[in-house]
Amino acid sequence: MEFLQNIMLGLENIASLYILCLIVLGVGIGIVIGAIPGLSATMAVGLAIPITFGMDAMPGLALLISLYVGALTGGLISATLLKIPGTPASIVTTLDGYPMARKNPGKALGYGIVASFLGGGFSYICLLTLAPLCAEIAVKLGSFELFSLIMCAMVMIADSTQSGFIKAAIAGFIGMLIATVGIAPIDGTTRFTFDIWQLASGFDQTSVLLGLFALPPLLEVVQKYDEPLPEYSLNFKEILPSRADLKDSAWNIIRSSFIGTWVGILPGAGAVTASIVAYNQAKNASPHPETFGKGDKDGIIASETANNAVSGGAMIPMLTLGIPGCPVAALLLSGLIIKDLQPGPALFASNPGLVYGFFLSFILANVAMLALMLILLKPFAMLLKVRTCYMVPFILVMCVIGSFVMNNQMTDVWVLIGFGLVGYVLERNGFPLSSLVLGLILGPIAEINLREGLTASHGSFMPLVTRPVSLAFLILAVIVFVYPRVKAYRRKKLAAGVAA
Amino acid sequence: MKQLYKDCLMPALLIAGSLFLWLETNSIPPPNFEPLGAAFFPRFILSVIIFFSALLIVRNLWKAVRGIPMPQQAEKVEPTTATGYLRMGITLALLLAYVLLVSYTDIPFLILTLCYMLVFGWYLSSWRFRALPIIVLLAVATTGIVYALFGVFLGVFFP
Repeated sequence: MEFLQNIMLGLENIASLYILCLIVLGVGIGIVIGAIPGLSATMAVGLAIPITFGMDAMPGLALLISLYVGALTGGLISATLLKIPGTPASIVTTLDGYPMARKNPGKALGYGIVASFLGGGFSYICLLTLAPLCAEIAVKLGSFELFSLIMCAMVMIADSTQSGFIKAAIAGFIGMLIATVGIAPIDGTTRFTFDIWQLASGFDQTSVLLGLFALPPLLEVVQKYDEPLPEYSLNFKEILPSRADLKDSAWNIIRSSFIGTWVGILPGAGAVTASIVAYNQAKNASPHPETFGKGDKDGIIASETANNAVSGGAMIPMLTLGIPGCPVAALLLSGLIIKDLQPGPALFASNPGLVYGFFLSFILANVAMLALMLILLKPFAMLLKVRTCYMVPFILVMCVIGSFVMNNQMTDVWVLIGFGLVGYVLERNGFPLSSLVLGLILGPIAEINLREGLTASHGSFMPLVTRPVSLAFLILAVIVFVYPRVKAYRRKKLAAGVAA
Repeated sequence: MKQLYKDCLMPALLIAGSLFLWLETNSIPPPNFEPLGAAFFPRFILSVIIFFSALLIVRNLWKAVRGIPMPQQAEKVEPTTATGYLRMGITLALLLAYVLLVSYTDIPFLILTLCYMLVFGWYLSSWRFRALPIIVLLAVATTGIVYALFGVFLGVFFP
């Protein structure tokens, strides 16, 4: 009963023409940004945060959510037509999307669009039903439990990236270190400010995130901006897949939705991992695996269902625990904090209308995405012909003004440029920026909880292992780290045995 | 050898930076009313970074000595060409010039933005006159959007 009441409260919050228009606009812009290679969902959401400053919480969040949903799907247009993934999440889509698009571009895009809609829809329903239950559990966690949970999340983040555990762990802890600049929690001591008063409140989080996620890709785009794009066909005859096609792929859609949502919940794993896992599972389960990579519809469906399903899953730990599952969730977290809303179980009790409005915005954005993609597919696809060099100056100016308006000071613009260069160097050397960002967000939460816990325990670390839930998280962290290595070692030994 | 140098340079820099920051934590006052104090957490983070960076160096040296190839990154980073570096350098120089002029001169922000977009856009188009109309249109439209969105709608005082 309470659940239905909360849904009604959420509906009241978003049922206005203004918010609906923002959602449609956000999804449209998101699709365009996602479709243009080099520009990502993270960049779209990061650039929009300053714009939401003048808005109330609900319209602002609805705009950010719709940009995210649009950009996540937009990536499939260039992945399918050009074999260039618009966003990293669409990398796997190129494997089957492009070969099919060479024969029938409309059909290839149609499978991707419908799969994105179904995958997103599934995960948003999971978000709507699971998040309140998780919040009820989360409210029972104490300081030591939360610290152990964050350490467990850090291990998962480092272990799930494809750059290797050590580099990802270093990146995560660099993120945590960046977050220590400024006034320390609990006692208010200043750290690492080097007598620069503008650093007393730490680095502005949005400027850091914009620097890390907007500048490095733009620098990459500038380096190769005059490379010619491949030719592609705009002959879209039949877009929507038939009922028989969908029935044939029903199990694939369900399995990929589950994989995407589950991977989204795990901190750090992200849409790329989800689409790779779902694609491999679909290939293994297929009666004709040899057709994968040559334009099989199930390849497109698995990848697109899973990468869109990640978006709902990633919001569950972000909203209930304040732990973002991916960089976009970290930006949405910033968007919530800017509006004086601290994600966590208390938010569900204090502001249920906004939380459920947040959930429903995802569902509405998903519907808007389907409608816009089906109606405006041709114009969106034509936008791929726009040279990215026209976009770069615009985006750079928006980054500069976006970081300036955070605190009305130029220091934040220098922070943007500085972290842009740091991000570029780290990325070139194989240190994943997603780990760094998650460390940046999780660092302060970990420190506050550890210091609060130790104050309560009079300096004893023992509760970390004597409290069962805290111990369980630490054991889980060890399992997450050890199990894949033991498995790989066994496989290697087995292979060596077979070879001998 | 060059690859080994490249693989060890970054972790070595990280260790050096971490040691410098570790020394800096000595200036943080000791705790008054709680057991850990403000210096504990940064020191914990720095020690983890130093440990993993050292591990990375040892692993790279070990692999180099035994002739084991380094694992390929999942997302292969394309090597930057000399032209690529030049373009990137000019992009950064123009951005720095723009931000410096905004910070330290009295030239109005919107005029600087317009000029920056014109110069940068035209540079990116390889100084082609055919591209100029679109670049001018984009520059004027962007400045207008910035003024309307931030100056009028959000009431921001431009620098």
